[in-house]
Amino acid sequence: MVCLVCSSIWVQAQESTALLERTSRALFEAQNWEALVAMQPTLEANGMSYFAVHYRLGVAFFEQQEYYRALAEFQKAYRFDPASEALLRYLIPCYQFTEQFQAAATLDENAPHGLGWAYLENGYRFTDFSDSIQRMGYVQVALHHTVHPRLGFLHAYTGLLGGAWWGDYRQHQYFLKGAWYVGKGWTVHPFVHLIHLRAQPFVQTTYYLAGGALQKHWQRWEWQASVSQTDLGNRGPRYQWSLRADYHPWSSQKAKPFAELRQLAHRRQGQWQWRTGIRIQFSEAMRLQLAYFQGNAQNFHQENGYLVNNAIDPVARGGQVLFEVRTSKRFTFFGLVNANRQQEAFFNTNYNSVTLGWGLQLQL
Amino acid sequence: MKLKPIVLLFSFLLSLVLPGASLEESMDQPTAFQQSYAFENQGQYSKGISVLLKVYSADSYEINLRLAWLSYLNGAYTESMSYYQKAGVLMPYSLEARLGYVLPAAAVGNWEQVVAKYREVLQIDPKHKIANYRLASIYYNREEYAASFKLLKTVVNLYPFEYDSLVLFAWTHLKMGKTREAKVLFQKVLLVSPQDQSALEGLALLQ
Repeated sequence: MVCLVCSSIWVQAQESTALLERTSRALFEAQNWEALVAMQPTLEANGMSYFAVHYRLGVAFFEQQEYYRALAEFQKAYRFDPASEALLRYLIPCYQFTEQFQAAATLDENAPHGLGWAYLENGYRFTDFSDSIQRMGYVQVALHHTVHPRLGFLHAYTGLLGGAWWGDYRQHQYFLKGAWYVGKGWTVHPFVHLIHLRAQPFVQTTYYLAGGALQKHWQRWEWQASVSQTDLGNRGPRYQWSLRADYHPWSSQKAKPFAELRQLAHRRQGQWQWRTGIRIQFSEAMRLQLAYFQGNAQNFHQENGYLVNNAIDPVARGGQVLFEVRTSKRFTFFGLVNANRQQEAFFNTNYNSVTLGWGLQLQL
Repeated sequence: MKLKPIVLLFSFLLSLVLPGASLEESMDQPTAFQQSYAFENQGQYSKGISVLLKVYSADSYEINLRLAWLSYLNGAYTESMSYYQKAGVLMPYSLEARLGYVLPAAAVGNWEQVVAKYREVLQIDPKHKIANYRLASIYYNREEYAASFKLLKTVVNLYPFEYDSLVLFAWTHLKMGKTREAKVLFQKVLLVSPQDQSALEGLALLQ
């Protein structure tokens, strides 16, 4: 008797999955994306996990511009048929739209290798600290290229020139950062920064900054853990580690809040700094990033080889505004304002600094 | 012992709620199989499944295999793959369970599982014609011509005058740049199937 009841339930369950399969196929063929998206919890609850169902759901989410949800479905479908050309036609753009360019390149046979993009940035930094460099100009030239679908490099040269009552301040920097896509959302970023500082008559030295970061894209999250080390001009080794999390609450690129925690370790002393912000995408061509940081830590951990000038002055708090406008497929103009409250260790003086920068990025 | 009336009452009440469950007399396996064939011939696959489930035994290879086939016909691909998998566990050297599994797996596009199953078949029987040919076709469509060539060579040596494998072997030669061999093979195809469009198209490309 009980067996009879069980078999009835079993048949009904099977009827249900067969019906769901037919319904999802019909909705897909009718291009009824809204209804198909609405079916996703039911399909999942019925244990329906195979290529066709994930592919259909992925396309439905993609057409609704829900790229993160589409990506999750396409990644599941990929496990069932990695050779599907139809799938790759969606999966590659999904990786691109969610800014996982190297993951996209590893799947794209036609991905261009060689030169990727370049940018030129110019700006000025002003301070209200009369005993230090009150005004300094800088220029940065950067080039990104790929040597393999999984491996890309960023080279950046930065030149800084400033004047103070005690003499000239000149700094030349070379920054090299690699990006090696390991697979399954993992990317390794080793980097090295060589800095030649000449602040006559006080100091003339060359020092380095080196480290690495491990980045993981997981669903709507983007995690990054990194560590770097520097001798900061023969002042002894210093280490800094950081943990950064970016979250995408919306599937399309509307806004991306992020938070970062940093710690500086030096002679058993730990100083913490945290940074948070949001990047808002107004349209495909225009976006704005706002960031705020606080923590009284020396800010020598640099992501893209930007300024390390006055890195030894702890940053108490600061804010940044970055605005980008893409005028064509190849050209993006950007401007940034960076305002910090810093402390000069020798004079034990607090001062304010403002950096104004602007530049052009060119897709090669 | 006092629980028995409660269980019976509960089952009775459930049978009233669930339309598929009724107080039918017990059925033996041959009858259930016979009825399932009858329902299959009428296209009533869910009824065929229902009668087999009444005599279902988890350790019966035959019932699992039959349920897998009927589930496949019924469009319940997840369940079909599950039953074929169970049948394969019960009879570890069963080729039919593996060849059956590829039907729902291919229907839902799980081509990695299809490839894996054909590989399993070839581990048991390296000269299996269907597995060699179908796997070769998959590799050909994926433009993995060297892998396709190796499998087709086995089939064509066993069946030198069989159309499907011969024409695919000819196209594989052409894709690999072995034009002289491809021409000979396309001409052989024309002996099997005179005026064959695919062979003529291949020969035209070789002119």
